[in-house]
Amino acid sequence: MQRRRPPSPQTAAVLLALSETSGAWRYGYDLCQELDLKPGTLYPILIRLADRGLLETAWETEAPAGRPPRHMYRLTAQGRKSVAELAASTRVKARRIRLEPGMEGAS
Amino acid sequence: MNNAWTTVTILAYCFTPSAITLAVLISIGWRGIKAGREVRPDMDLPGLLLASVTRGMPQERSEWGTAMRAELAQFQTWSSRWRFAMSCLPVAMFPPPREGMLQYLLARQSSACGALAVMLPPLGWPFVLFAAAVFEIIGGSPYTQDSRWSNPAAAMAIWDMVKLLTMGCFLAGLPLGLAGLWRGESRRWLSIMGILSTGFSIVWFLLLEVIS
Repeated sequence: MQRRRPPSPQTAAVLLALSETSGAWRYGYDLCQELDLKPGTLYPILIRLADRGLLETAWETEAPAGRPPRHMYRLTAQGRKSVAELAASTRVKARRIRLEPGMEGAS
Repeated sequence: MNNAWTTVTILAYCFTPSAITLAVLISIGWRGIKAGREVRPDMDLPGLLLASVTRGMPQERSEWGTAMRAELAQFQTWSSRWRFAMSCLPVAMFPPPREGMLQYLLARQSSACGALAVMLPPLGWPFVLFAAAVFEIIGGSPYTQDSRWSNPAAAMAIWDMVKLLTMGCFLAGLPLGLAGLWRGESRRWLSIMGILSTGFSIVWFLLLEVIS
C-alpha cells in the first residue's frame, strides 16, 4: 500500500517553483538559488520526485564547449496534478483555520 | 572493570571509531582524487572530490552523480565550489533508496552488510556494558587473581591485552561497515569482516567473562 504523506515544506517549495514555470526546463543551480536550498537538500528531493514520476529529467543537448551537459528538470502531468492537489489542500486548510471558533479576528 | 580500564574503554569507544572512520574515508577519498587527477589534471580539488565520490554511486543513481558534477561547473569561486561539493557529498555517499528502506537493504546485500556492521557496535555496546556490570556484581574477574598463576601481574597484563584486542575487534565493525557501504558490491567483504569482527568480539567478551 502506498503511503500518502504530505510533502515536506522544502519538497512543496520545489514543486511550486517548478510549477510556476510550467513546461520550462529548470536547472539544479537555479532551483538552489531561487529557493535558498543547499544541493544536499535539493538533490534528494529531486531524486524522490523523479522516482515517484512527478519529475521529468533530461540532459542539455546544446552545451557550450568545455562545459558538461547539464541535467534539467520539469514537472510531469502527474507532477502538475500533484501540485494542484497540494495547492487545493493548502487552501482548504487555510479556510478551516479561518472558520475555527475564536479565529475570526485572524486574517 | 577497574576505573582506568573503564576510562580507556570509554575514550576508545568515543574516539577510535571516529578516528578510524575518518582515516578510512580520507584514504578512500585521497585515492579517488589521485585517480581523478591522472584523468583530469586540470580539475580542482572540489571537482576531483565530487567526481571521486559520485563514481561510487549505485548504477541506478549514477545519472544524479553526473548531474551534480555538471552543476558544479556553474560555480566559479573557490568557496562556492567547495560549499557545493561538500553539500553534495552526503547525497552521493548515501543516495535516497529507490524502494523503501527495508526493501533496499534486503535487495542489496552489500548495503545490508554495511549497515549491519555500522549498527552493531552502537547496538552491542550497551549489551556488553550491561553484561560486564552483571558479571562485576556477581564476582568480578577472579581469573587473573587465581593462585595457579605464578606471576599475577603478567597474567593481568595479558588479560588487559586480550580485552584491548577484543575492544579493537568490537570497534573495527564501524569503519569496516562504512568502508563496505562506501564501495558497494565490490567491497562487500569489508562489511562482512566488520560484522564478523564485532560479532566475534561480543561473543569473545562474554566467553571471557563466563570462563572467569
